[in-house]
Amino acid sequence: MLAAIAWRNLWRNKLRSAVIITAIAIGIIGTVVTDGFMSGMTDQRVNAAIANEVSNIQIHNPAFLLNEEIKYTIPQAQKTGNTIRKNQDVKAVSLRLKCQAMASSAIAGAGVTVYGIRPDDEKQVSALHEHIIKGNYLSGKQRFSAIIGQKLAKKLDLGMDDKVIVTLADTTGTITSGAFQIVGIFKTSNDMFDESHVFILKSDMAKLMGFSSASSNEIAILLNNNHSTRSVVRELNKTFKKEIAAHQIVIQSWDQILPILKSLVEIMDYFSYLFLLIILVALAFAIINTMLMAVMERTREIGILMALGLSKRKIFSLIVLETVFLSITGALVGILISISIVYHYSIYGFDLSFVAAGGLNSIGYSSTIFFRVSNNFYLATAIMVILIAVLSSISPALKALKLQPAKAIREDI
Amino acid sequence: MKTLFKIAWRNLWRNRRRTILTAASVTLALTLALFMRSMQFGSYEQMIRAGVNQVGYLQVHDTGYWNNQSIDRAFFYSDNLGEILHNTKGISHVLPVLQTFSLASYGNRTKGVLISGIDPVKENQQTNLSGKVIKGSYLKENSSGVIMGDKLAEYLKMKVGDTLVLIGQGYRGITAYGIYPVSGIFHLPSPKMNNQVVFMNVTDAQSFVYPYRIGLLTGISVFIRDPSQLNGIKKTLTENLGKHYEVISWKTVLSDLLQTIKMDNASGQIMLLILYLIAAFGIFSTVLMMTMEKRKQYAVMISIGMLRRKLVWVSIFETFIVSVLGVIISLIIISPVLYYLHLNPIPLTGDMANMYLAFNFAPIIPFSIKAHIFISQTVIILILSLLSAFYPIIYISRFNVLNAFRH
Amino acid sequence: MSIIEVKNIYKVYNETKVPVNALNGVDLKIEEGEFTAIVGPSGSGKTTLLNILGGLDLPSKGDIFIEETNLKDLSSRQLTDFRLHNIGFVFQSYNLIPVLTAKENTEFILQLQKVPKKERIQKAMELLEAVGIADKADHRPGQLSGGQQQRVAVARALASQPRFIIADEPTANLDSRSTNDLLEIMAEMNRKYHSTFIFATHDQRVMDKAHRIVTIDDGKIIGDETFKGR
Repeated sequence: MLAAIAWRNLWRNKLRSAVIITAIAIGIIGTVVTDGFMSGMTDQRVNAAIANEVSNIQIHNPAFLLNEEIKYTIPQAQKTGNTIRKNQDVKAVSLRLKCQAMASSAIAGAGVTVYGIRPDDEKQVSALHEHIIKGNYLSGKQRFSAIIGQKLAKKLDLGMDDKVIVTLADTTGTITSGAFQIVGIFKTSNDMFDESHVFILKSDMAKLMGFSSASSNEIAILLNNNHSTRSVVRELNKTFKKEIAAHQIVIQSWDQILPILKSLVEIMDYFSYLFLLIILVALAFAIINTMLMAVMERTREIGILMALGLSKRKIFSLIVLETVFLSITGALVGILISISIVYHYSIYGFDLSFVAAGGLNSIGYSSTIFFRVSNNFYLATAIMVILIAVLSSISPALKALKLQPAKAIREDI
Repeated sequence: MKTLFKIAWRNLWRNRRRTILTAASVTLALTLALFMRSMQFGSYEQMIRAGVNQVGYLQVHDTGYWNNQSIDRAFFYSDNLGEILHNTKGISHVLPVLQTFSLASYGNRTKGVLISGIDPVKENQQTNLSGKVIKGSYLKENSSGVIMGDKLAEYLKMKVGDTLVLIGQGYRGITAYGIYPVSGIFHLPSPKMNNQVVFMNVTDAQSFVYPYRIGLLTGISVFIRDPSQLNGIKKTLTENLGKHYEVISWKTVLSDLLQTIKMDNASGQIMLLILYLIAAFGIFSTVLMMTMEKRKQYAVMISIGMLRRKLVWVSIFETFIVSVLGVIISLIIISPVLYYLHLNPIPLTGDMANMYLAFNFAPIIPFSIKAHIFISQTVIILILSLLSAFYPIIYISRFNVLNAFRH
Repeated sequence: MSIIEVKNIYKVYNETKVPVNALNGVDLKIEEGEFTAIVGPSGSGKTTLLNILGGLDLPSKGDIFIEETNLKDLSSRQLTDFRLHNIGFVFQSYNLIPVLTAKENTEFILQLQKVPKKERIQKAMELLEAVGIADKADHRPGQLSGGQQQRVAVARALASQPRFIIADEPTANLDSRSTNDLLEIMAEMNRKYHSTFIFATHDQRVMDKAHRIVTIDDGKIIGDETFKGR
């Protein structure tokens, strides 16, 4: 009956309850949708980074990681690659040569990372071939060809079929260079990537550097599912226990390769929770205020309940229940609406180009964001709302307890 | 009017707790808003200041250089150019710069680097580059040393006193070549700078890219006294320099930064909007209750002959007093806090710090105390609270006196 | 033995600057089955006495016994519990819980006493029947007239089978027909269940029905008349 009284009390002043419920709902929709947007943005960045840039897992010679000195290749890379391909979670493996170099045209130069790849393998691992906006992806047939990012092409004032000069230090430290014909230009959602990467054939690169074409200093691994990254790393660490112990190879997951990306995900999460907290504090004020008034305007009624023999504990619970019901109703409305908004944008995407398409690309994001909210965040929101409701009800409930029945009954309404 | 104000004032103090609570919700919203905005604008200002400090308010280049930054689009400094810059009002100083890309080698290690030829004295006045030198000494005039970032030195395994070999592309297709002793190693906040940049005397850089004629520059950074004069100065310079030179404002040079700021600002505004909506609902619910509760009082006052219009004023005054009270409390609380944080920015650590560094910002959270932040937020919250006064206005003009008595 | 015995009680309110002596040495005994009206002008101490009799307030000095219990010995919590089981209340108007129906209001006390549901409903309906309002059992107070509300209040007060019922100006807001009906019902309850009623009232019609009229002024009892045979 206490619950019934509390619930019905809510609807005595419909406008007032509606105002508070709306406020709670707006607060929740605001935080959840913001979280959906931010998670969507980071997801997109992470997925693009995995698809186009780093893959799920990479293997290097540990000495290579220190300074990316090309002489530190992976011993028996072919064999290692074949062993990895046997893992059922692995979708594809690509063996690469990677080198810091200078790319230049007749008029300008820029520091870049040059990758030597085998097109057939690389296409399995990286989605870069889907981002070619001019020309074609590398093919094994055409020797001394290259693909470069749009931003780099612009910087060097190079177009299709122009030649880009790649200058690098070979295994002996001698500076050497080669001319490569541009057969394709790519554009990903990350300008910084597009500005600093050149892809050529692995055989050409090996020749330029003075390696046999079998040598590799990077093995990139794409998995069937991003979530299995951790477990596959664990398995591979077991498989290559001997090599790892001998400091021949080191296995890294994408978040170890791009720790910035990992912290980005964590920071975004942290901001979502911070924002939720700020909104809830603001809500708490509205709730406390409303409930205090609800108590004050019912002084006489509460006095009568006390006279009738309702214990203090019960009076207290009555106010708490009322607050909690109010908040839960608001939370339910808010969460239901949030779910539908997030669902909508998770399917159709949210187009941000009206704000700043260029700006988003320049910091590595595409301008269409697909929202995602984790179940954890929904759960946290729900729990925090109830918690805040209970906390907010304490002051009004104490106020109710302080009423003296004899006086409260006589209070003018 | 004075009487009405007095009635409103006394009404408020009849229910002190509620008045304080309502004022408190205004205070909370405004305080949070001011804190957020001050923090956001603080970082924007910091980013822009740091950026402009490096690139200048305006940059003068050979026409076409900005779109195609090639050494071939460098230009020779002329006295005529110097005179125009000198005679343009509002310019405080200019910094010449010659930038070019080159390979840097030491031993059997090589890396592509950005060579930045600068005027050591003027540059130091502008950016305090000498303060960033952690080993060895800063560039000296008339001495052909270079300074490089600590990460680059680590990669090349170089120390102060070692000799760096530079090979690159010179002006008009010649091969640029030079050897330079490393006089110092610097550490800047940005890992990119530490990894990539070699500073040298602008005259050394000039002879590196084109030894046959001295005076080659890729750009001149122009600093002005009053940022609000930017557009005027840009116009004057563009006219006086003629079509062989282009004048680019920092807004173009730092367009990526401005885009990032715009994005961040938009998300900040959305968050504020949500916060304000909640605050507005809180205020509205209080006003609603105050109105309901005073139904009887209103009825009595109308029956004894008070005009409804006057009652409306009473309720407007009530809302207004509460909001102003909330605003004042908020300003009293937050202003000293923001002022303190403005003087002592919050240092960042860990992941956050790394991320800031990665984007070339100092790892601190600075706070802005610009008047426009305070004014805009205060105005917004006052408007919001006055909007809630519409409810009693409508209510008072419409409600039925007899019904109010019966209840 | 008396149900209520008040011994030389004083009540001083110190809330204002000048202490107010609301009761100045009152002695009163109420016997089971009485139908008593306490009368007196405003400010006479009538309400204070009623509050003390109802266990809503305690005297500053002196003792109040309800049967063997001295209310002054009870903690606030025990007092609440004591009220629940021993005292029924009928106030002026608006004394029902507005969000509960007539039946739920009547049931409410029984529920607090943890009476099983079936028994509770049966009892509530029986009482509503007795006060002649069973057909409105599912109406909320807002849908009832003042007289009907007071009848529900009487039903609620009787529901817990209290030792006695305190009625504070129960007819203050009623027209004369409703007043007559309500008094009839209370008198009927008094006869039928031997329930003890104590009224505070200004209403001559209530005094006309009372078996005993205690007059109070300036915090003292100045008259105590019993009318046998009413």
